[in-house]
Amino acid sequence: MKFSRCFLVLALLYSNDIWGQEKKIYSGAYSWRGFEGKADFEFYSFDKDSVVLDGDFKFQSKKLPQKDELLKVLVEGAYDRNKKAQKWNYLTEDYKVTIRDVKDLELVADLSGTLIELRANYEEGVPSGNWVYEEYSVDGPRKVRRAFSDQLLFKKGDLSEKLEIQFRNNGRAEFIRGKLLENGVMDGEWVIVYKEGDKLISEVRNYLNGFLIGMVKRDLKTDQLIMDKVYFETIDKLNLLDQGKNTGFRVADRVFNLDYRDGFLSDSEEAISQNAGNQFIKEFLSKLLKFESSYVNAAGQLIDYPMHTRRMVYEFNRTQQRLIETIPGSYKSLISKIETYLGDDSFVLNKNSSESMAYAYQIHSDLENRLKGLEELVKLLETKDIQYHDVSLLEKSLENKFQKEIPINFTYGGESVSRSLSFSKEEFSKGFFRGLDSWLTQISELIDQQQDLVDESLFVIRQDSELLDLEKQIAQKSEATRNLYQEDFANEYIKAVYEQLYTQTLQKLTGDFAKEQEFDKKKAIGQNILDLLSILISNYPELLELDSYSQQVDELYQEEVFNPFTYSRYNQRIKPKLYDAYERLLEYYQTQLMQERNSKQLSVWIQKIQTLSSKMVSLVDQDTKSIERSINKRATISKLEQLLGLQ
Amino acid sequence: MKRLINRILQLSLILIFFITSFGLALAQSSPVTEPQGLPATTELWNGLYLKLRLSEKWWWYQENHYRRRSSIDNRSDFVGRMGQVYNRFGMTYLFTDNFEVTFGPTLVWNYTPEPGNPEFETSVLEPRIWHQWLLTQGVGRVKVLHQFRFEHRFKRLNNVGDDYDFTNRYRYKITAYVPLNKPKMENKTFFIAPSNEIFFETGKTKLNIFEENRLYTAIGYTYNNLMFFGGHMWTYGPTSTLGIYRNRHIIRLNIMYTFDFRGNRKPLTRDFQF
Repeated sequence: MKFSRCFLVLALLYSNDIWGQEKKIYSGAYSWRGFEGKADFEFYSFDKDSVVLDGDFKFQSKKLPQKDELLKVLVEGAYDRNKKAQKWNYLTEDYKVTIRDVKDLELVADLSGTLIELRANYEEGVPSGNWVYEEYSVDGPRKVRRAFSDQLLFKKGDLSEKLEIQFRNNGRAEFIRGKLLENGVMDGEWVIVYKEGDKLISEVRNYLNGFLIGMVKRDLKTDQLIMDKVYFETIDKLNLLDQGKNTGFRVADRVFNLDYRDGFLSDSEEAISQNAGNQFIKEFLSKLLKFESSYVNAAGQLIDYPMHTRRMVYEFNRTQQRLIETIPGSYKSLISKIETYLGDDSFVLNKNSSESMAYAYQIHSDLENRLKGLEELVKLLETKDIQYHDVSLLEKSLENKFQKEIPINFTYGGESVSRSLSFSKEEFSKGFFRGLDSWLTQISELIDQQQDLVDESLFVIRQDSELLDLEKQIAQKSEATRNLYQEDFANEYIKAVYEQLYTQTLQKLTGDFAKEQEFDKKKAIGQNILDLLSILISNYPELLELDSYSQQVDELYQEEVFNPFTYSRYNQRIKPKLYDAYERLLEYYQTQLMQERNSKQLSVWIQKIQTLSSKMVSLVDQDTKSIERSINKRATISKLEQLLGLQ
Repeated sequence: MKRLINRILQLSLILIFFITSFGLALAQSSPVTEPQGLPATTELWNGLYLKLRLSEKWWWYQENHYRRRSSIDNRSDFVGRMGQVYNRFGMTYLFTDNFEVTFGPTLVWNYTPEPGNPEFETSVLEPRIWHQWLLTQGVGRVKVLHQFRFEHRFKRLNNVGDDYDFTNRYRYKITAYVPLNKPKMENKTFFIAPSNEIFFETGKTKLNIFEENRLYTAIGYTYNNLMFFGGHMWTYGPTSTLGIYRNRHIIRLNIMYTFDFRGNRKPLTRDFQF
């Protein structure tokens, strides 16, 4: 980023808005193909965001990926309007340095590594012409050539004529040698010799215009034949093509990568047998095309190939086409449905709650695995690459995935249980896609059926669990409330509220709770019980305080007097009529509070007592003669509340 | 101060003992060797007592009595004749809750012993100067009062033309207030108050210094600023005739009222908040 910015600054210094009129030169920090380094090049600039390289280009980079590693890159070539042109030289040095000692202030170290020299040619930005690839092993001061390309000819980005590359590895020769047609199509005999474990494998492949028709694998050390595979079906189809008797298929217009396929998937023997040789070729191509962004991505992976295989393309009727369109959707929906249930913690936790649940879980798990085995096939349908596969061959190779009876083995209660699922394969007789669609539909129906059972079981389990949880909460809270209240039974409020709400109301509610069978109603009663207990707990401190309110008002409405007749000092009530009214109201509120069986009213009475007490506090220093005059013994509670300003 | 009061109290009790012993001895040593008792008479005394607090230490003291006595020919009717109108005033200085001193005048109208008899004036005034020393003592839940009262009397008989004599009267009364419905004497307390008061009198015309003993059992009730107090009092003492003693049964009905003119209440606690 930093280098890019530097470049842009320099680019702006040389900016000229007219294409082709003035070429500029850049020399400085530069980022190229993921390497940071220094570059010297010529370019045009249209504006600050658009730079066109044109002319000589030189880039050198040096970095230390690890403490003991040094990676150097030197690139020299030329661009023609942003496209590589003519000769390019790449020198890649990858060293490993092992420090051994320092003697007389001089470093003593071992040097090892790889040095790759690549001389390339381009036309219109694509590899074209002769390329030379040389790879050296570095061991101290010695440089030993490890690989050398005898023949590397590119035509319009594809390898052409033949490919010959040799690798020397600890005295053994590995190599790739084969013929290529136009467009890089592999043809004739290809010999690939490579190491596989401690074996040196010789793989001889026969291609016919890109079609792999045979392969022989031999262990060169033992001369043992490892594999001899003839792709008869391909040969038959090629013969039919030769004879012009091909029906429903032809050679596909496009070409394919190294992996040859024709009605078999990647887990088939036909596919697996190609993997090791193809991997060896891919590794070489990755190194060869390391600096070509259209072939190798930034992560070093091949994304396009300069050599190809061919495949047949097959015709599908409308019904088949419709199924090819719809099956991937059905498949994904089914997988999602299964994964949702397998990811449901409740299902996982309760899978052993009953045999049917254990069975349902195993069905989900086994069928998910089986469906995952069809992932590659479904992807072929989704990408429409299925048209490059002989479906009749595919059907045969996938036969073991579509069984009439699928065994489901699981463990329940410590015992192994074996059951099986039955599927109809009738629809396969009408075509592979109809069979596949029917297969998925049957699984979907089975899963729906199982999920209904699971839902029902989980619903009951959740209800039971919820009720258990509720009961546990009630028990805990009930005990906490009981302990709390019984600590202060000497307090008349505490005792009365406990008697009314805890003993009476709670008893009734717990009776109702026990009798109720309907879940929702039972839950509601349970919640009412919890609410009641919460109210009892939350109001407890205030109930405990109530006595102090009346004591405080009582004290506040007394004054100390000295009786000059008895010569005694005592407290005497002041504003006795007002205090009488207070006592009447207080008694009324107390009675109501102590008889209250509706928990929600509890706080109402507490609040009334608090308000009354506060009012009395505020009135003690006020002139209350008019209030006192209005108070009489026959005044109702409501009238008293009105006189005291409590309404 | 407290120590002083306790000291006074101790001395008083010693004094009471000697005075009582001396008085009774005097009564016994009178020339009449065999004292004769008159039949008991009855009286009804109604009294209003006021104690008005003027300041932290000063009080206004007032008693107003309306006293009737039994008829000449019916000694049991309590109210047959007018007895006395009795007005006592004073200023009280309250040293402590346990000790106070009161002083002031008394104006008593003594009514004729024989209404309608022209030989007697209907009523004659008896002015007095009095002072009183009162000590209180808590004995458990009981409040004990020791009252020393001294009266300087100018008195005469109701006989027409009788002259005024000056005498000094010495009174000691011990009273116990025993609360009945409360642990101590306080507001709204029913109580019983037994008391005994002994009177001595000296003067030119007095041959016997023992004047009277009053044994009084009252019940009462305190209610805010009021105290209702009443009961039966039995008196025993010599008459003006040597060797002749009288005794009376007196019903006393009293209302006591106190008022604090300072106006500022003293609440117990006011610093709490809801």
